[in-house]
Amino acid sequence: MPIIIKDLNYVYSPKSPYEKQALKNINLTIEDGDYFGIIGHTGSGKSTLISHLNALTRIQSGSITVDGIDLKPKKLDYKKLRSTVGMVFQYPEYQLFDETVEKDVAFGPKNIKVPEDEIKERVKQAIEMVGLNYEKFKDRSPFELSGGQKRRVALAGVLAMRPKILVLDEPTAGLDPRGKREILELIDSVKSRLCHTVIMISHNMDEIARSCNKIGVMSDGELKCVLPPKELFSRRDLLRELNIKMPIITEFANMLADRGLDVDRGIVSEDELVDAIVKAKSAVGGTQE
Amino acid sequence: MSLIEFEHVNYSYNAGTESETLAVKDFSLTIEEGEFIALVGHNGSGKSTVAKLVNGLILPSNGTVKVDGMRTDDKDKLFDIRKTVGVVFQNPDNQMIATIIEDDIAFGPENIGLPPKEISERVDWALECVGMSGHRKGTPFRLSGGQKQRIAIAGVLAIKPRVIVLDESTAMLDPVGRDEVMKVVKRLRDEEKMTVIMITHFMEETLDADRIVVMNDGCIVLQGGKEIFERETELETIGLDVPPIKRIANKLRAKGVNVADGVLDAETLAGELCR
Repeated sequence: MPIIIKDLNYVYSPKSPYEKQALKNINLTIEDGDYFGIIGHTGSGKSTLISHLNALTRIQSGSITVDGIDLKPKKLDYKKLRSTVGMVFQYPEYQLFDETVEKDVAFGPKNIKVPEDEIKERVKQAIEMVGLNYEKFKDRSPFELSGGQKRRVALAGVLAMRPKILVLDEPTAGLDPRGKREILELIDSVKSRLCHTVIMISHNMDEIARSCNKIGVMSDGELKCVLPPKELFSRRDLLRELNIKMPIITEFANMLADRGLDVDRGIVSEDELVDAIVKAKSAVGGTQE
Repeated sequence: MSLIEFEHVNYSYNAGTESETLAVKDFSLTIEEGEFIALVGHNGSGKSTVAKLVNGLILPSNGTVKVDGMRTDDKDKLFDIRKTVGVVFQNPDNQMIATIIEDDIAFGPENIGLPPKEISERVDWALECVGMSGHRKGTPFRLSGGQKQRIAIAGVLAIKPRVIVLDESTAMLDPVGRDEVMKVVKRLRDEEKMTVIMITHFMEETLDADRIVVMNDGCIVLQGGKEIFERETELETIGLDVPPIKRIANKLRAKGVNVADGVLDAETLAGELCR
């Protein structure tokens, strides 16, 4: 079932000199199967919005239902909610704490009182899902792993809850190019195997354009628009108004189009751009002959 | 004498314990005054260790690091070394100490005991360098990520260091913020003639550097100008990448489009394609 957000408002430090409206009248439906991207500048409300989805931030006004669970009532079935929505924060590796990888990953399921033998099975599956060898890693301390490995273990801890919806805040920040690519591929595979819906905040427009089928743009607490990547990144006026950069690929496609080469301005993938250039060049060559 | 000299430096974390790891191995590098060095390498390759070694935040296990002829393990010189080399880290929020921007920037110059008039001049100059003059009386906590990071840079500049080290200072910023910081870095090099050591994972940010130094497992494996990006397979095996425009140029060439070797930036490639 979808995530339905209606008329959501949120004010930090209400009735104080620091009062700030972080969310303004947000209306949004995220369908099952969506890979939903959220972009926007620092302080635009992205993190406040997603922290509502597993009730870390409670609703002040408006309503949210997540997979049929109403998040409005004061008393919530947190067990159920947190096994529905898995939340991976920025730099999640800072939240590793236990002696071994196995114990760290088992923490969530243990907390919601999953039976022992099932925990073991879940932990093994989660560790393997993030591309680590269970036997090799289970007894190691999470603190002696590399940065990329730590991040995977942190992700495994969330996956062991077997959430249907996975929410990620800047999952590739600070990783080297290979680490970035691997994490994105990992998310793709998790999406096809475990979590039908993925929501990702990112500052990296190329990543967002590559992965997501819909992108929501936040600005100053408002959800400005929800569009598929090609449509969003081909609307130069809108991007300028919201002060959002195009993906490097799209920016280059526009540069070529400005100089008269016949390529689509909304192109977001490298291979598509290469094909478009080849086609445009051969068309130009053809007329010359 | 070069401004910065690393000679056969080793550095181990947790030395003498079971989990001892050699982060930097037999590392030798000299950097001249005014050079813009981009330091790249995968996570855990030792880049940040190098950044901390430059101004004596950590000391070599073996070998020596010299800044303007001063050894970082010479305690009497540490103060002068820190005045010569300023470091900006990844997370701007961890580098703010005061609630008013001018106080934050004045912290360094106050610490080195400058007279109030000069401190005030330096705060003006530093804010101007990073394009934040209008924010002198504001608070850092309400700024965007890019603006905060520029304030962090201004705080370092106020010491008037000759070298600025940026340790992944754009990693947490949105694209607009990254652009802002990169503009400031270029200005420091071009107008203030500062020596810049920039650590980054974004290959496109290295294109303005005079020299790109590539690290793998604590060692330098490649260094040189932009021509190092011709060694793609080597870079890929150590977890790195080439700038995105270079990848497009390669793919075009593979499909029979005539593109010259060594094209790395959008402007040049567009020029080639739209002749």
